[in-house]
Amino acid sequence: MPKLGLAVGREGAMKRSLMLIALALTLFLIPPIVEKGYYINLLAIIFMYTALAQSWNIISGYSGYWSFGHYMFFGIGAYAVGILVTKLSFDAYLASVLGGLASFLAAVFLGLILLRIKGPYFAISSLVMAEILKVIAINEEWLTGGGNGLILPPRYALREFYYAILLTLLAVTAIAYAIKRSSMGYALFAIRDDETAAETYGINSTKYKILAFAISAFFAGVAGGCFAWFVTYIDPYSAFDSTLALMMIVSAVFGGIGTVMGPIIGGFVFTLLMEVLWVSFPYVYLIILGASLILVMRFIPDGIVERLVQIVQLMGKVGIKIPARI
Amino acid sequence: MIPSADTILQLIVQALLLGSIYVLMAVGLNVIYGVVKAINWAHGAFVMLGAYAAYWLYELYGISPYASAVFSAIALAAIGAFTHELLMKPFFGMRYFRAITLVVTYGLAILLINITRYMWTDVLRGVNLGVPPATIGAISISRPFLYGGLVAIALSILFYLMLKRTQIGRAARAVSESRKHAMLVGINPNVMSRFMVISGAAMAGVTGSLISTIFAVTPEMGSVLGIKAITIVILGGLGSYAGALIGGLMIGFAEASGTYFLGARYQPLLYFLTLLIVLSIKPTGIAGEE
Repeated sequence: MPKLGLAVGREGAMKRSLMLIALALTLFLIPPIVEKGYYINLLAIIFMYTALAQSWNIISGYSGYWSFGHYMFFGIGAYAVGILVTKLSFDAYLASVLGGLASFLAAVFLGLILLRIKGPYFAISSLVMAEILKVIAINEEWLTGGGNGLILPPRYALREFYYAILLTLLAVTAIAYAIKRSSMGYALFAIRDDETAAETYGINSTKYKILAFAISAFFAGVAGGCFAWFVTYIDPYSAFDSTLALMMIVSAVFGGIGTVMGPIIGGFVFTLLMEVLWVSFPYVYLIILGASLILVMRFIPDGIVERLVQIVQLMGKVGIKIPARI
Repeated sequence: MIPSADTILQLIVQALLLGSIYVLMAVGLNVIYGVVKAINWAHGAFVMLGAYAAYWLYELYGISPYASAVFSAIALAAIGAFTHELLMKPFFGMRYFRAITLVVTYGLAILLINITRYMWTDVLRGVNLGVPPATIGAISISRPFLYGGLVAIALSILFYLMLKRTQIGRAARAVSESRKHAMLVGINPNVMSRFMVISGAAMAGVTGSLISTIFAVTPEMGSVLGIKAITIVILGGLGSYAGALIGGLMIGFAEASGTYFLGARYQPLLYFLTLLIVLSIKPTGIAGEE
């Protein structure tokens, strides 16, 4: 698979596309003022899945540690908020941030165990870890309400969720971009390409891996926390839902692993698709997810963003004029 | 609570029989890994398809799952051939081959499980042979367990002998060591890897037939068994025949005794924890090299 992501030497283009993202996302501040209903809900859900895909990208896309159990951090965040709000009557916004912190700390701790394990061993271990947490959530009824779940007081409306999750998406995108441009990003890409070689060059791989894992977990946790107070009800099966990991992976792979734009595009495409199909044909949607994963890996392993760039360049070559600055 | 000697014996026999079926499943997965170096995430889905084949043949035509195992094996062999040609071969020689094939077969697992769900829904099915349990001395074993375990043991031994004693087995092991050097001595690695993926998938089909008489047949079993199969081979060490044996028996024991000691609710934790503990001590599994 040639150059997954890291587009060195296209910084101008990257900066432009980033300003475009910032502009687009700023525009998304407006809708709830004029609309309040189905479309706002849809947009908010899209933002949530996109933020999750972007957070997955920070660890798995950049460092090559494919986490199939990343939904565990969504669950930790959701349960942290659920417990803080119902048992200790915390404010939901504060609780969401604390949920993120809980995920962050959990990731530091779990990372010490899991990130020593490499390649496919890591992929399955992360999944197994998530399933362990799910079993604990099902069984520790005094804390988590067991299979009955937790019911949160309904105080916050759609608009609050919309802005909170948009903020999360903006923050995770900005952080993903910042990490990619920093020495940490280069360290992570070096680890992905050859961890032993990276260590030989003096990169403290453990430090960077755990940091990336924890940052990534933080945002997944915040998203889970916001989700918890928005739907006002969480149970082990919706908080620790392995479909979430599938969504993150498919979105990021479709858009382009390791790119900042990729998970955003993938997140939008697949959440919209889910919205169209889920209610009437849930299995068809999952079949499409599975098939997309296969087809994308087979035919556009670099992701759709890379292909779009190539098409634009090709159009330039054959003389089709496109505005220089999109 | 100290269990009596009979209870312990009963648990051991059950664990051995269940473990043997898991060994067969893990050997199928490991055989594919050994030659292709790809972890087939869809292995559990293959087992599930084998179980459905056995269920429908039993339900519609009354064919015993032990007889229809041949059919399951052939059907899954065909699917294995497709998997090899379409989902593994195109990626040979690529840099991130192991990651790519892991993700692609993960996609295949999702695809197969949900197609099954779409066609046959989530209804719990199963082959009920209606035979009384076999009583040997003080212990009584349900017959599907007994027959399934014995068939699995026999097949695992046969396959082991094939790997060690026949020309095909030697060629497969040579490709597993080094594709390039195998080619130098006149072995076509593509033919060998196709053959081994097909045999691995066929073993998954047989495992499915055996399991259809023991567990409920649902689409969900595809993902559960997929994780279980990968857990077993990773626990034992990827690509190692001994690893599959150790891992399969360990998981068999963890399941049989976990239900007894921890109750059904915490039982899944036991083998997950076993995996995490083993991997944090030895990141490549018990018998894994690398």
